Amino acid sequence: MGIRPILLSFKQSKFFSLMVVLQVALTLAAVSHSVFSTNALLRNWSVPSGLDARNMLIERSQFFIDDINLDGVISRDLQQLSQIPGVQHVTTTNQIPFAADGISEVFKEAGTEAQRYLAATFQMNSSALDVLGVELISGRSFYPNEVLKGQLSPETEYPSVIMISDALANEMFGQESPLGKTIWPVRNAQPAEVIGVYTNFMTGQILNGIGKSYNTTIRPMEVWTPAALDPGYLMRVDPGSAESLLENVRDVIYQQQGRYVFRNEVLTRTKKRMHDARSSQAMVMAAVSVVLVLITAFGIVGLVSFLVRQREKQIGIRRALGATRKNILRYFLLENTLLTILGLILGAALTIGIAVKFPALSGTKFIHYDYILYVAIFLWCINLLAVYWPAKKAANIKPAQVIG
Amino acid sequence: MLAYNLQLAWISLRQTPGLTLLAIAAIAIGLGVLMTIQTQSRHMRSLPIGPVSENIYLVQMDNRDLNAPSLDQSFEMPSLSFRDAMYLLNTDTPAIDATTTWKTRGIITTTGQEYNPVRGIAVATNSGFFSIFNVPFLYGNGWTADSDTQGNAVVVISNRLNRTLFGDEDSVGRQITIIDKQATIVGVLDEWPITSQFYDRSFFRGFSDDIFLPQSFAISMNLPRYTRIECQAADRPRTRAYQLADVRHVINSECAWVNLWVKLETEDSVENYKSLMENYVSEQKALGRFPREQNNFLDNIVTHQNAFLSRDARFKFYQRLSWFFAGVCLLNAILILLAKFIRKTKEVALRRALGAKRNVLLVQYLIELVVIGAIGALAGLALSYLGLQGMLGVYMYGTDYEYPLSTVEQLYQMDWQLIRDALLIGILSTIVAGLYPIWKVCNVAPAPLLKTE
Repeated sequence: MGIRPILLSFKQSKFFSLMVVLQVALTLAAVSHSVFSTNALLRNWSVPSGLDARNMLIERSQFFIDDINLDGVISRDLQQLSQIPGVQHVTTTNQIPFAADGISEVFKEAGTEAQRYLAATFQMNSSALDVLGVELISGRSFYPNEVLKGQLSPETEYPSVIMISDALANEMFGQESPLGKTIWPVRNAQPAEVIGVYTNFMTGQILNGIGKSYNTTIRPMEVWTPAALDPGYLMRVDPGSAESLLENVRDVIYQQQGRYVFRNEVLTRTKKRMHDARSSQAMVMAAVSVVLVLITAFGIVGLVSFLVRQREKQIGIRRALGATRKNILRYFLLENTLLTILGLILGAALTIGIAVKFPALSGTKFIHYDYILYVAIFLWCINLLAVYWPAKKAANIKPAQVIG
Repeated sequence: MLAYNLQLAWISLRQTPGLTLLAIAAIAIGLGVLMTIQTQSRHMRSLPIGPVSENIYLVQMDNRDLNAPSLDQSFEMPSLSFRDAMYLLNTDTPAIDATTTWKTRGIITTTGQEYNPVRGIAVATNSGFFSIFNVPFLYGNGWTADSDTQGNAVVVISNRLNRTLFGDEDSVGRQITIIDKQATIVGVLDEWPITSQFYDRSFFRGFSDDIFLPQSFAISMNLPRYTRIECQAADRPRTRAYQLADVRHVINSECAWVNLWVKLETEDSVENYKSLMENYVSEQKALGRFPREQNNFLDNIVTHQNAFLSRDARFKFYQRLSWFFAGVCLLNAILILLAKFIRKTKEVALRRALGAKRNVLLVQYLIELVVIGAIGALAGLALSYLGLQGMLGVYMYGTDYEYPLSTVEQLYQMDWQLIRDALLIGILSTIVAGLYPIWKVCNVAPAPLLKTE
């Protein structure tokens, strides 16, 4: 059977044909955008974090009374925390993986004009790599005597060694070995020599959309500044024991008067928080898409039932003239496919138009042309399914029924 | 007659169960989505402290640099400097009641404590706070005006903090330590049914504030200014110090951070207050302050809330989406109902030939539509309940369960207005959707159709 009769029937029911086309177009646009944003989220979820977050704990606290000499407090904390059964390694830290929100930079040369490389700088002690559980790729880790301790002041001489992540090493030095190279962790300030390169771990810089997730440096520092945030602690614990150790950790910190713990959690929670805002939006968008696809399918079922009913007589005559059931079924499927394809083309144009004009609308700046294609194929299948039920009914019309 | 029509409607519904179900589903889904979003929107727009929200105004006078961008919306304008706020608070004005507010925070402990220290968000304010905002008390009262002037170490605490510290007992007269200063509790708040924290201009809906204390006391113990401080260029580098440490200078600076709320009940008093502000700024200009052209605002809480809501781009997007959805669903309902009623052509032709009036048929099908609409509305109601619960769940998940359910869930509650709207919109939109199909089917000419039978 040719396409001509189908085209003729479009002419007869312009309104309905237009409705199908429009609806398919709008559905494609909406679903594509929700797929884009869900995809952006899933991509972030599926990037390896490089950390065994389930077995890591963080603790952040602050003294709310003045005149505390933190030197003694820090070494007491470190000692007591490491004595908790189940705690394997402890380090002080100025930042928490997955939660790093400030952007810092490192430089390959001195001077105020030096090119900047985005990287989160962690200040940890010589247990850093053990706590993080990342591996040394080349070079060495810090020696305990290299770790700068105590109160920072403008005169402080900063440590002369630094470790950097694999990703940062690649970005700064390419194929060259970074070992022995000098970098400036603060613009035009004291430089440090790269002594080790470790496997990547996630900083949480995805959050601000500007930072690089794997670019990190670690400086051997166990330090504090008056009137600033007190250093936090990062711990590696026996597998599976993280949740149960939280309270022990808090008790150790609270043994000291005048202190307030504002964050004490398993690192998986921090990781979850990193993804939350986007994932909740994606969930809503996904639910919306499902509903929209359902509605479109309902509409198509209703519409085709209507068309079938209207053409009962023609179908009957056709059948009497020798058309098989298959022919009839094919006719309706083909008719719907033609309309759907028209709708899909319009919808693809709409999707791209919206994505270019309002990049923020779907929460992502990226258009994936292949995804539009997949969504289109999916919608076409749904539409075929929706047509099938009423079309089957049409095919079952007996010639004798309608030709009286 | 109605019973007979309902019976006919029921029979007709059962004749085409598939299409009827589809029609009901289309209406229910559209309604569910629309009601979920509109209910949230309605809750968000509800007046923060009831009708009095319209009579409480925020006083703003533009004291920024000459080269600062010009602003024509009060929402963007900084609050007042301490000295201006204090002058207007203490001078004779048309306002019935007035108070200043700013946010601060401190770590709370009590002597002989058996629990860990609590971080408390505090509001530094005046005795007028409790009267102007109708704050309800569980125990005790607010402090007196004397405490404002003398900077007495007194506090009012929320019932949440009272529960944490004293287990719901009447704690009036007991002492708490804020950082390292002792203060006496003079009152404990009852549940305060405000929808958001309008009084610090944040319209925040998470926690309620824990502590209320005299501004003079907060300044004397140098509690941090936990709020945005807008300084002129000369002072801008010191903004952070002004937030944390430098209280002596900040209260004499041109930096804006104090919210002044005044209660004005008549148009006249609003006009009088405006001219008072104008005169004050003119005087100060003569003294070399207020470098810019006069640009004063006296907007009430409702105006500020609306400006705040109109900035919520994501929610606006959801709102548009929900209308779009409802529209698509309605179009679908039209299609499905058309398919459904077109099947009745023969029946209509027969009945018409037997003498049934067109109007009688129209009424009968209208009743059938109402039945479909009512069922669709009920199903839509169920869906909007699920939708609201789902949105609540998503919100709680998205904020990592940081805020107590009790303060969040009021945005996601079903109420009578939702039920009324759903029924009304459901039935009306079904009638709208079905009008064309039933009109079409009732207008068939009986003869040609019957001839073919």
